[in-house]
Amino acid sequence: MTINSIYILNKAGTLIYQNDFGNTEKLSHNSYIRLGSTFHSLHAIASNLSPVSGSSSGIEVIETEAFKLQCFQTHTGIKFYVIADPNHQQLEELLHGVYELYTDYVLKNPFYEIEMQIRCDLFDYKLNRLLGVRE
Amino acid sequence: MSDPLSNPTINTTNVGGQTTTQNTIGGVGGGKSNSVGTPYTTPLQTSAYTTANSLSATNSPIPNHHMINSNSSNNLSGMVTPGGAGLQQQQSSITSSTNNLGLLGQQQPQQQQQQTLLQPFTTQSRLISASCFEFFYIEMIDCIMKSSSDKQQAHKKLDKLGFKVGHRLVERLSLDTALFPELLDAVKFICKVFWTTVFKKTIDGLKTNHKGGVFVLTDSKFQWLQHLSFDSSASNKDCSEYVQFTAGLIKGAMSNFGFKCIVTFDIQQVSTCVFTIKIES
Repeated sequence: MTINSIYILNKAGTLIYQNDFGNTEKLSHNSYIRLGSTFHSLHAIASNLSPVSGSSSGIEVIETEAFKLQCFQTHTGIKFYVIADPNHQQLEELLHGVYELYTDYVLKNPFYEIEMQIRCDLFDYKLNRLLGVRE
Repeated sequence: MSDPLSNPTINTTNVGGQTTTQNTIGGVGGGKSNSVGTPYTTPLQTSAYTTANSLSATNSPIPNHHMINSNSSNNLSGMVTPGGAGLQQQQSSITSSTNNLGLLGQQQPQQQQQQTLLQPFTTQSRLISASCFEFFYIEMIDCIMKSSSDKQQAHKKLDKLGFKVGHRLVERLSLDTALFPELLDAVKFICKVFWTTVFKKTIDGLKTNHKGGVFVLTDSKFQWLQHLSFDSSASNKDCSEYVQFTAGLIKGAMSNFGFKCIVTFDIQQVSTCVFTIKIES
């Protein structure tokens, strides 16, 4: 029941936050950017391919034997997704919690520039506490 | 600014039963649909109303009859319930009007439905109001910092701005309070009623020297620094401009009570603020 990593993408698909937890192998900075961009593209393609008429929400869950990816997209187009153990439950609630922390400790931080990379100590601290409770 | 707020009240009391009912249901319906959706999606109309309400509360130096009621509820909220009691009472007022109109022949089920639907709207309005102010505050300070030639001038502007707001706000808050016989009572008013109205909590600590001319106010969880954090690699970690306005608030409030003073502040740990008030005599 572990969380491997969390990504936050802005509406243009740019990776604005990424963090690894637990014993995950560290990748290079460019690799994380590439992973974020790839998921953004897949999300857009899946939305267009959807057989349901009207607008589709895009990818919400990807499940494999090795991991589970849960994605939450806000009405404004910000995407939060988390990669965790295949058996992990309540990832959707977790992402809503991350969204609340984002609105409270990133957007209300006067030193944060909109659409830029998130570097807020308080947000990191609160996020670690949120994940600590879940784990 | 008061007129838009007065109109809804007049309409509620004067317009015929059916029209009033429809208006009320429409407004509440908006609130209801809002609560069903994502909490952070906000109808523009609701924001506008709440913001207007907040601005009116801050900027009205001369209260009309409607505002007098607000004064009472705000003083009560200062002593009993922090935060939204004032807004709650206004909502209750609307409910009371609806109940009175019910006596004129409206059906019972509609009445009950209206009362139930009012609750989420009230909660939502409170959240929206607090967030709107925080974002406005960030932009206000950013604007003043950029339009000033140096940091000292910016701090003077913020101090003067806070002085004006504090001076007028305390006029409104102290309407139902007895006169202060001593300086200490005025400072206690600042620590309790004033601080609760602006920051939703009381001051955590108050110290004074033997002579009684210096007061040290400690707020261990300063509301307007709760969401502020720096980049890990930031070399400059000065955020004093986000507290200077508050020093002006205190200065203006004390000045309106007749005590000229100098207010300085010190930001200790993260979000702990110490304000020092020195009385000039």
